[in-house]
Amino acid sequence: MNVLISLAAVGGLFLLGTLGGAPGMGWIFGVVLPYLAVGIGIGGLIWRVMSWANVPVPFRIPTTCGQQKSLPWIKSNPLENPHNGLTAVGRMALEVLFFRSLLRNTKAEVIDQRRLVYTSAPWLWIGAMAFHWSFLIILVRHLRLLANPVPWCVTFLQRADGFLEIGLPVIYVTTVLFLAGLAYLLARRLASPQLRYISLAGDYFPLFLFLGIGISGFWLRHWTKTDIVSVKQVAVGLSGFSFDSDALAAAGSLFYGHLFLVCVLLAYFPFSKLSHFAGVFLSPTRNMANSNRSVRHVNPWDYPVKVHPYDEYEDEFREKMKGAGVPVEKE
Amino acid sequence: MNDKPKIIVGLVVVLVAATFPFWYTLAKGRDVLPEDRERPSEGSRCVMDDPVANHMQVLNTWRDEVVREGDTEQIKVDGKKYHKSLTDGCLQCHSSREDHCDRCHEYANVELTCWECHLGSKGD
Ligand code: HEM
Repeated sequence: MNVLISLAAVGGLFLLGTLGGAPGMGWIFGVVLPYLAVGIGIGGLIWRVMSWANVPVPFRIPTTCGQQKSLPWIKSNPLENPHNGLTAVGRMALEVLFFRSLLRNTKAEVIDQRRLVYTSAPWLWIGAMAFHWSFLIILVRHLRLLANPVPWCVTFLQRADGFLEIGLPVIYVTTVLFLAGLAYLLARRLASPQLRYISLAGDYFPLFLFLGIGISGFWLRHWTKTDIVSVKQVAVGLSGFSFDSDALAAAGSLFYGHLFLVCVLLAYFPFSKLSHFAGVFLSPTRNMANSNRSVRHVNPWDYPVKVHPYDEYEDEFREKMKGAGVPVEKE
Repeated sequence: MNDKPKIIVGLVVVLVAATFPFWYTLAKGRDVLPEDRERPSEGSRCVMDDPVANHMQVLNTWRDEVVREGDTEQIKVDGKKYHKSLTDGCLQCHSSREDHCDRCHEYANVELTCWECHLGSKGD
């Protein structure tokens, strides 16, 4: 049910987007909606992150899985158990760039009907890496449409990515990896009963949305071609706030379908699980250094508590204590 | 206690990166349009219906037919015969590589391999 609703939603949104190819509609789907989506996306991201920024983080709760730094002759593992800001940044960088924690994914199996064995299950990591890195590279490559003149690094990426020189226009390695990664991530949720049970529409919808964007993009480049010069006029017009009705009309329905799904993605981003993009940096169990013992952490909300130390206590009760035979420190 | 200052710095960095196309384009001036494309002259027409989007495929098909299969038979459009060739076909009407090909390809940052073998225009 979650699957079908999400699939139908993305399909419907795509069809809605293709309306942008109808006469005059280019202004709505090619100008108004993209700006609206960028506005919602950026505003939403700020709102979301600021709501997190206001949350206090008083405790040191880093998770560790390596020897902590202690005596000089005990070998420590700074990346698994960072002891200062620098090593914590190192661990975060590995997590954010290479999803290191996904590599710990294991699979429990009973073999010979009596032995429980844990084996490494790297496919989630492989699929996630393929998807996320391709996504980033595709976004940077798209700058050839949004920036004029095109920055050299975009051209460099474009060349490297197309080095296989298969087909015309050449197919990019990342286009294939992007779609293959997504297909695996979707199949993984669908194939395992346990995963299907915990998967919500909010898990399937983004997958289908990215697949819709990727497939329509593939279609635009390798199947029904578009007038790429008009597309660039529309796109770079959005970056530079200058619009051209002829280009908007020439860009074609399929392009508007692709663009509209991207607009939906932008507007949906801050309000969905996709904001893990920002959230991953704020995971307190990961971004803190394990200085729990080496540094004294004082509760920032400590206020002066009225105390009654022993010497005052003894002053108050000395006579009674003596009377009861309790030893006292000062006579 | 919270990490607000650090978080705001991170947020600003992300937002500046995400809005790159806007400030890049504004910095480069609003020179965002390509030079005008070469338009067909009166009464002439292309052998294709939608050359802007699909010309690369036709050129590729011609390449395969002529070079690989040896099929050099001319095509006929509106009673007129044309060579299946870039230099002897397309570039007979469209006189110059600079005006006809490069303007759009440079604008859209499309890099071709055609000119590694073919000569574009005189003096090329
Ligand atoms: C989340 C953002 C986006 C994603 C994931 C995405 C994905 C893709 C993919 C996978 C392709 C196939 C070819 C390639 O890999 O380059 C593609 C092509 C294309 N995309 Fe996007 N896209 C996005 C945003 C946009 C935007 C904002 C525009 C327009 C301003 C756009 C316009 C196009 C066009 C015109 C093509 C065909 C390119 C060609 O023929 O070389 N895309 N897209």
